[in-house]
Amino acid sequence: MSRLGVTYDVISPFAGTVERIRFRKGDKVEEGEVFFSLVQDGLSFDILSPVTGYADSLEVERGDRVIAGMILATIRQTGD
Amino acid sequence: MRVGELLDPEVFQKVVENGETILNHIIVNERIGVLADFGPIRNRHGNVTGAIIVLQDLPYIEKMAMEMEYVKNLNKDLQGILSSIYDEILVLDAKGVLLRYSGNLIKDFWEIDKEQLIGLNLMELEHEGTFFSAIVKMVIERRKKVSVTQESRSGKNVLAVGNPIFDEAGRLERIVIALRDITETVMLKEELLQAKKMSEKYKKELEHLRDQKRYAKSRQLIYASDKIEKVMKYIQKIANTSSTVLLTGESGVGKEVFARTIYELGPRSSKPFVKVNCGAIPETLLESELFGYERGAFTGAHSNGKPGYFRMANKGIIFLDEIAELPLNLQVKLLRVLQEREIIPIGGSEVVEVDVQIIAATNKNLEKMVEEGTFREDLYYRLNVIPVAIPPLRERPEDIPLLALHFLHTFNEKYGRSTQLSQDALDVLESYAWPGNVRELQNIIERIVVTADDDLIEACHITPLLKKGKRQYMQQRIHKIIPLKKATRAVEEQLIKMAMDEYKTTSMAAKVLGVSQSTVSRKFQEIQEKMSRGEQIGRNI
Ligand SMILES: Nc1ncnc2c1ncn2[C@@H]1O[C@H](COP(=O)(O)OP(=O)(O)O)[C@@H](O)[C@H]1O
Ligand SMILES: [Mg+2]
Repeated sequence: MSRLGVTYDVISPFAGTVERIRFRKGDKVEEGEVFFSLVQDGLSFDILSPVTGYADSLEVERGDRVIAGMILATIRQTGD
Repeated sequence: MRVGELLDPEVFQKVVENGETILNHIIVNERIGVLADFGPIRNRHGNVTGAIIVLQDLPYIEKMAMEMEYVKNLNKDLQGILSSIYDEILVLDAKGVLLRYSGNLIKDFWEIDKEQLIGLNLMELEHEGTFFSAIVKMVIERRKKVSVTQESRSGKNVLAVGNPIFDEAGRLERIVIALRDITETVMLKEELLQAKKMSEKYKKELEHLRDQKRYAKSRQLIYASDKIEKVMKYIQKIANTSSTVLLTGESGVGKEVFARTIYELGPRSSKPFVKVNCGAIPETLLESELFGYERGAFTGAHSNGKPGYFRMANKGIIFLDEIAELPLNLQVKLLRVLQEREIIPIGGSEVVEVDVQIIAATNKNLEKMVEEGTFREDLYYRLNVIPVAIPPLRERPEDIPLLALHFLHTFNEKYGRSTQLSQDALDVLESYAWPGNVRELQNIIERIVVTADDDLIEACHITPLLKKGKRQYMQQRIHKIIPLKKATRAVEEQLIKMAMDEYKTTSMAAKVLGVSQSTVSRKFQEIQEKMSRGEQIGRNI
């Protein structure tokens, strides 16, 4: 793990409802992996992880409503 | 003591110059807290010549006043601290009315002077409203911290953190929204990410070059058998088409070697060859790995998108290894690529044309999977345009000595040794059934080269490394006397099995064995029953 603990945000691109969360705090996450599924107007969208790292914090729970730009989770990047 | 040290000179002036009387004046500083009454002293003519000051020590006032002073200082400190962490802080009541604010750095976020907004409900504002009312609503709904990022019109990245504050009864009392200009942080993080990606890319390129070098060294596809010769002829014929190839065969038979051979013989050899192991990539990742995603596509603000293997392989070949592991939802998407020659990156609204030849490989029986419903039939037919079946090593024992010597040479070089295989050793290798095929042979030779005490490797060094009870066709000489009937039967079984494996139909097998078709068909049925019970064929020689 890097000593520089740079975190990146998983951001909701639009308003919707959290349908699924695929990771828990501390889980290893790969760039491009589906992190959340959000439902908007009955359609489900996958929100991908922007980086590879470890899930650092989860800001929402299943069923939560979210708004555009909202930080849903943070991912701490690994050093390698 | 001079007046100015103790008292406000201005007050004193008023008394002595204007002759005013001032009562109940509070004097507070770090040292004292007193209540002072001032009165002028006049001479006979009414002129003020002095002042009388009555000081009353008021400890409680002192205490209160000092506390006030303390709070004032604290407030200043707090503002200082807050403004160094956050650029702006807004304090709202539970309904969203702006009570106070501090800091004014993110100017272009506000259309009007914030001072004018005090007392107004932010949820009802026009311009700033959409952003802030969404946050306020979110805080009220969630009763939890909410962090939202937004780009301002001038391109600044602003982070807003809304925090609810509750009273003792748990009622929402205040909403504090802290704003921070994170433009620079975002930029730096983005740069860091790019730098990391570049270094990863170089690392991969380096590995690829190293791989190629290693591969070039052992590039030769080693074979002596007619079976592989046939496959090679077929491959040469099809190499010039860009049709989809489906390589089948047990694990370790060399499917990847054949895929690369097709690539090298064909017109795409100067373009990329991209290998994707469908079984090794997590299902959640596979789609974006294959098809990529667009910049910002649902990944949040900090991403540049990813081309995906298909675009990386453009004009070249994509080798989809372990295709049977592809989940059904992606089978649909792959089918689309095969039909339309275009992909839709995740989050992309437009299709992207790709010119890629597909070579798929599997050790599974796809036809059976189609029957079981775990592999799409339409995809199977799309992949099975040019089927190439690589026979297992035990069906082409002529290749074994050649491969063994080839690997021996490679590993001798690698480990700086000069081991040799005795004829006995080669015989043992040749008579083994190789359930793990060429890969197993390769591994065993490597182990022998690494562990051999002497340079000459004998049969007795090899036998312990081979899995027992796996021999199918025993090409050994007979070592002990057994009843002739038993031996004849065993040889018969072997011959029929071999003939059927090779020629597939009982009529052809009967022809080469020189017996009637009904004999072959009856005996082969017995063999199959035996095999389905897990018994071995051709035992006891
Ligand atoms: N005909 C061959 N000549 C030389 N090496 C071979 C040959 N067939 C297989 N190999 C080697 O055996 C190993 C397994 O082959 P691979 O192509 O990975 O098998 P598969 O993909 O069918 O499981 C590889 O290291 C490969 O280089
Ligand atoms: Mg393989």
